Amino acid sequence: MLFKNLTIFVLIISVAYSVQTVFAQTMTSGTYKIQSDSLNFSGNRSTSTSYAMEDTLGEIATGESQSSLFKIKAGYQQMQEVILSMTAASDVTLSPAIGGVTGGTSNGSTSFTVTTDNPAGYTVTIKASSSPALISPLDSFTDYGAPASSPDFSFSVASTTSAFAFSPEGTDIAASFKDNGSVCGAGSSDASNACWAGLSTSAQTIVNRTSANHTSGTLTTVKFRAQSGSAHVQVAGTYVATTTLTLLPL
Amino acid sequence: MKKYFAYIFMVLITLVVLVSHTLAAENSFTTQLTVGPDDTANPTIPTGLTATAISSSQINLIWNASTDDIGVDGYRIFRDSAIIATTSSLTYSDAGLAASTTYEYTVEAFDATLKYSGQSAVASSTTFGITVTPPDPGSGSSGSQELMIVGVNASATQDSAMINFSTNRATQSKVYWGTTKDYELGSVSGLFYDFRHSTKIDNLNPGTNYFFKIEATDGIGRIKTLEGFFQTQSGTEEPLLTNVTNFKATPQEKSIALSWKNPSSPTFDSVRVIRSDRFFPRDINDGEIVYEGSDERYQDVDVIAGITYYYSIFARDTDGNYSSGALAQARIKSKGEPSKPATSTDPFVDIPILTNVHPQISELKITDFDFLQSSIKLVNIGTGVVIDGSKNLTISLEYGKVPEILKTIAITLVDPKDSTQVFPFLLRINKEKTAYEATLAPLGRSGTYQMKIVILDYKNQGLKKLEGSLKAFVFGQVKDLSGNQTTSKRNTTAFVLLIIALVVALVVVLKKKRKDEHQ
Repeated sequence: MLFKNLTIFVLIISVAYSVQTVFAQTMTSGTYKIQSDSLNFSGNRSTSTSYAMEDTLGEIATGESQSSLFKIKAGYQQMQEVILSMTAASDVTLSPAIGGVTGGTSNGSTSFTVTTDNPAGYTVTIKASSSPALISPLDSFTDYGAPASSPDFSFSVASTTSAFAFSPEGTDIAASFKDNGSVCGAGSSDASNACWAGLSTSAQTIVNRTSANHTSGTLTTVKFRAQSGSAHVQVAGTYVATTTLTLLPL
Repeated sequence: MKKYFAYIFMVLITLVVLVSHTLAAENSFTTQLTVGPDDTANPTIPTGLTATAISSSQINLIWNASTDDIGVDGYRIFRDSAIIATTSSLTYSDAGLAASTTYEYTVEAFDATLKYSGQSAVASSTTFGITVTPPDPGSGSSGSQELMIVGVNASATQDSAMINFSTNRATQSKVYWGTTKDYELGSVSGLFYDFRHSTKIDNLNPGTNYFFKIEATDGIGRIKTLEGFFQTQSGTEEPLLTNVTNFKATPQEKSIALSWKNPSSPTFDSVRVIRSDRFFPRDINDGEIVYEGSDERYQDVDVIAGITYYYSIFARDTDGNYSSGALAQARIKSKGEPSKPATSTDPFVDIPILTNVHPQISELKITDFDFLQSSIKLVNIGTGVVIDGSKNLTISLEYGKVPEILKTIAITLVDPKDSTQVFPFLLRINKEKTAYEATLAPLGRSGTYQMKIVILDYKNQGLKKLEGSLKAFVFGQVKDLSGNQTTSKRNTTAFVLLIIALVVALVVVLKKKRKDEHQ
C-alpha cells in the first residue's frame, strides 16, 4: 500500500515539475501549455484528438552560439531557459515641497522596464516597508484609500487630512488599474494620472502580462502623489517611503 | 514509523519542488518628500550685483545671495530687461556679446514655489573693443593717449587660475586676489614693462569665487586698474579611485599572506601596501612599503611571531592618485601559544569606546556622513542607507565636521552571510581638502551590510564608534531570493536535489518491498 502511494506521489511530482519548468508553451489547452515538446528516441510527428507532438532522434550542431547580433540555442531543450529582467527603478523626490500649515500637493514618478522571453509572461507587485508608507520620525501621511479597496479614478483628499498614493501607468498594468474613462477596474484604457491606490505592506499586483515581450520589454511608470489638506497640519520634516517591486514569472 | 517517514519525505519533496519555482527579482527604491515651513514670504532682492566685461564678447556677473523662508531655489538673469538665463549659483558669465557695447543687467531670486523677489538694482558694463593697437612705447607721443587694459581673460582649474590681459602701452602689471574685494590673499607683480601680461595664481580652493584686481603702470607713472572675478572648478567632478576589495592578511607558520582584489577601473595602475607594527598606516607614506605592483597577493616573510602587523593597501591610478585605503591586520602566534578559535576580522572590535574624544567628534552621528552613487547623494536618515549594489559607493564626511587634530576615520562593512568577515576602509582627506572620503567598489550582492564607523582621536586618546547599515540591492537582473544568481535560469540545483530525492525514495521503497517479501 505504502509502495503504491509513494509511487503515485513520485509520478505526480515528476509530471508536475516537468510541466511547470521543463516545458513552455506553443500548444495550449484549457489546463496546460507546452512550448516545445520532444522525445529524443524517434523522429516523427504524432497526433491525437487532443495533442500534436514532434519528436526527434539524435541531433547535431547542438549547443549555444552567439554573435553581437544574435544568440542561438540549438538542440534538445536548449531553448528552455527563461530570461526575466527588470531595470532598476530610481529613487523619487516628490516636488514641490509641501507647506506644513498651508498644505499642498506634491508629485513624482519612477519607471522600470521588464523584459522576458517567458511565454507565460510575468507579474510585478508593489509593497511598502512600513505602514503607513510615507513617514518621518514625527508624523506620517495616511495610505490613500481603505486597505484592499479598489483604486480611485480621481485623487481626492479631505481638507482635514493628508494622504499618499500611487498609480501605475503602462500597457501591461493590472486590470484593477485600467479604466473606462471614469471608473477603475473597468474597461481597458489607461488614463493619465488616474486610478490611485494606497501602498500597503502586503504586495499588490500592478503589472500583469501573459506573453513574452523580448527584446523591447515593456515600460511601466509608477506615479506617486502626496497631498496635505488646507485644514490639516503636517509636521515639518523629511518623509520617506521605502517601496519594493517584486517581479515574478507566471 | 516507516509510514511517518514516508509522509515526511513527501512533504520534503513538495517543498523542494516549490522552492525550485521561487524565482523573483526585487527592486527597492525610496520616495522622499519635504514638508517644510510654509512659504509666506518672497525671497529678498539680490544685492551687490556687479557686471564686469572681461573680453570683447563676455561680461561676468556676480551678486550677493538672497534669503527666503523656504530657501532660494535660483536666480533669473535679465539683460536689457529680457530674461536670458536661470542659475542656482551666485555668478553668471554672459558670452556671445557684441564688442564695444554697453549692456544692463538685473537679477531676481525665486523659491521652490516660484515666488519672485523682484529685480535687483541695475548693473552695466561695456564689452571691450575688438582690436588693440599698442603704440610704439618709444615714440614719446604717448602722453596724450589714455592707458587701457583690454582682452582680460581669467581661466581657472580646481586649484589655480591664469589671468591674461593686454595694455595699449608697455606697462608693469600687478595682480591682486582674494575672496573679497579687499583682495586679502596676495598679489603678484610683473618684472618687466610689456604689452601682454600673464599671471598665474596657485593654491586656490576648488569651487570658490575669487575677486581679482589688475593694476597696470606705464613708464610715466600713470596707473590703470580693472576688477574682475573667477570661479575655480568644483572638486567633485573627478571620480575617485575605488579601493581594493576583499583585503585579507592571513597568518601562516612563518609569514603573513596578503591577498586582495584590484579595482576594475580602467585607470587602475598598481597598489602600494604599507605596514606598521603600531597601528594602521594613515596614508601612503605612514609606514614601511612592503609591496608595490599590480598583483593580487603578497607573502610578507619579514615578520616576527608575537607581533601584530597592521597593513593598509592603497590603489593607485595612472595619474598617480591613491585610493583612501583598505585595512587588514595579522599576527603569527608565538612559540607555545595556544590556538584561539577564529573570531571576527574587525580590527576595531576589541578597542574599547573611550569617550574622552574631542567634542566635535563626540557629536558626530551617522547622518553626518554622505553616501553617494553616480554623484547622487543617497537618503540617509540614520536607520540605514539603501544603495545600488552594482555601483561604486563613496562615503564622505565634510572636512569641517571633525577637528584638525591627528585622527583616523575608518569604516567597516560586515559580510551579510558571514559576520566574522569584516572589511575595513580608511576615510582619507581628499585632494581639495573638502572632505574625508572612501570609495568602495560595487558590493555586488544583495543584503544588509552592517556598517561601523570608528573615529580614533590620537590627541585625546579617545575613540568614537557609530553603527548603521547599508541595504544593498543588485538591480536589473533576476536572481533567486538568496541573491546568488543573477540570471533567471531554471533552478538546476533544486532539480538535482529532486532527482536525488527520487532515487533515495525508490531505494527506500525497494528495500521495504524486499523486506516484506522476506517476511
